[in-house]
Amino acid sequence: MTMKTQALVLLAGLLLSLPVTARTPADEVPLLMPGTRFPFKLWETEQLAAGLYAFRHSFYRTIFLVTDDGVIVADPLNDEAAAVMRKEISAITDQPVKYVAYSHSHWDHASGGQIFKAEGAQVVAQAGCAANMRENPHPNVVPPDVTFDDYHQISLGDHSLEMFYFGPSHDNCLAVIVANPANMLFLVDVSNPPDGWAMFYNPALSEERPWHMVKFLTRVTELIDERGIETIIGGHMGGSFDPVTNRPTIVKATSAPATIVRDRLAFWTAIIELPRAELAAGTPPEEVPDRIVEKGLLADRISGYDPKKMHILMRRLTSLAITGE
Amino acid sequence: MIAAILALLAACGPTAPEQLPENTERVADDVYLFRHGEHRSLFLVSNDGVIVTDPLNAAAAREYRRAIAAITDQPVKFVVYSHYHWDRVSGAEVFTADGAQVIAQARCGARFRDNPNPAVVTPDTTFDDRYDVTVGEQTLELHYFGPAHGDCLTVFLVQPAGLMQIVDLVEPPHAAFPPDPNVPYVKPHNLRQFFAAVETLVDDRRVSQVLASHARLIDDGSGGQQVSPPTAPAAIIADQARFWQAIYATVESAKREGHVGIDSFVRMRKVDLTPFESFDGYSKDDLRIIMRRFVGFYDMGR
Repeated sequence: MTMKTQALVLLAGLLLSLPVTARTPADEVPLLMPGTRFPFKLWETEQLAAGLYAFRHSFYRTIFLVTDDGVIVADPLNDEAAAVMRKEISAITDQPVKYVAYSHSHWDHASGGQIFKAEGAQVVAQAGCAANMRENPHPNVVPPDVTFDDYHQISLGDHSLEMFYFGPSHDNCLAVIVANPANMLFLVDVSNPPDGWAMFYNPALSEERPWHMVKFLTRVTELIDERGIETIIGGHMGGSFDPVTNRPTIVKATSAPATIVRDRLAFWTAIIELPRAELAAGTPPEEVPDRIVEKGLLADRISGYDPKKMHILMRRLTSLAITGE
Repeated sequence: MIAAILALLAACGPTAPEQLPENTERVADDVYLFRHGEHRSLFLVSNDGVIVTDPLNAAAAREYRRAIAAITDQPVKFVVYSHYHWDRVSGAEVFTADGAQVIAQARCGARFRDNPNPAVVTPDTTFDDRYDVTVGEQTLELHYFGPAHGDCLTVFLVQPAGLMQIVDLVEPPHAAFPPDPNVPYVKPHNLRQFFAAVETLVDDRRVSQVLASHARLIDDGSGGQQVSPPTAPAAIIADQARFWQAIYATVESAKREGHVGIDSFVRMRKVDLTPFESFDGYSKDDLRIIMRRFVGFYDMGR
């Protein structure tokens, strides 16, 4: 082997060890909301710990774990986001994506897995998600290859994603995901950073299972305590409220102290109790939301309190108290 | 000769009392609705026992038992739940204490395990898609067509009377807007399929009347109020299906044409309200809230 050949082999080896696709320079990523005061890019990849990355596309966030033995992706989000994420992963490693782990069955998080499936990834989800996807299929949602009931662990090298199912919460198959060894919690659509006392985006709670939320969040807080988890990663860049003006704003909300899950448990416990107490005091069901809003109950505690939203929420939770659902 | 007369009498079914209890309505031979507050519950009487549907709650169930006792001395042999909501299915202990068996669709049974309530008796028997409850000459047909109002709503069919009850989802006298626009129990991913299956059943089995599950005060047409009627022509089932179809179609169109805001509300100024104006309880504000639920369905699939 000549010096020149040696140099070429060395160069080829170097090239092979480099990412297949160059990552888009940050200044070339388009703005999410051009023409507004919000400077967020359309997508963003952030390293949270060794091998653990958060990927945000639009207002949605997922995570991926990079190891020497392959990559584990959580929610693929959608076709466009998954294609961008694939490039972002390629800029970090040339390892293949071996697993996709759905947080839950909703199409706006679980679509787009085809690109990973095509390279041989296995899709993992809680059994209820598989049932939902059979019951109501979507062409952009890859049905899971592997399902579990209560617990599943995906391991590659010294990294793993643990998936816990604690019963209905947001959806009837939402998995509580722990990324190891970072020991961070990925909890989608239940307790989004930065605030556990934030008013709901949709106070009609169309996707929630309010009858099981307290039990569910109790189990999550127990898991946090058992594992000594300190950080939660959010499934959304989301709305929040300026602490000074209480006006709506947008915060990146990649992560927060895991204590916000305990705050969310306190929030759910408090809002469920309000109509129960009012009914127990003899207030007719149809008058319960009015009474609670008139009294301003929890108005100073709920971030982004809005009487109209509170009225809708209390109507929904009065139904819960009466029907059990 | 006496034996022949007795056999003839038995074949004629139980004798209906001349005067019914005030809270009871006869909707066909040996088929009744028990009324309590804003609720109605279906029951069937035979010479070999009684089939009760939703017991409502303990106080209602005690009145229910008294109303039945005023009609027949036969025991209640079965209690059948329409779905899992506590306001319909609490209080069955009044009947099970006397030996009645409780029947419900399997998903109701699962929910009672996940979210127990001491006032709700869990079912002794569950079924998946079809079940017939027969006592003497009476049969209550149970049909399950998937999630619709909650996960386990069961359609009741009484033959040969041609009566159907679809609790909480189709109410006499007319197809209507839902009472709560948040529609927390409506399952958009299966509602169309549910109504399609029900309409097929209506046609196949020549169902003529739909039975009320509620008793609400409605306009009597002369400035006063009256209790909503116990029955209506079965055609209101198709009318109610058309209401939901119009919701799907309007939301689909709004999404396709970009008329849904970042807050997931359909821009109402872009909506043709005509398909909705003929339905009882018409409200543009409610329509906006109902459609937001369906925007969520199209985004998330549930």
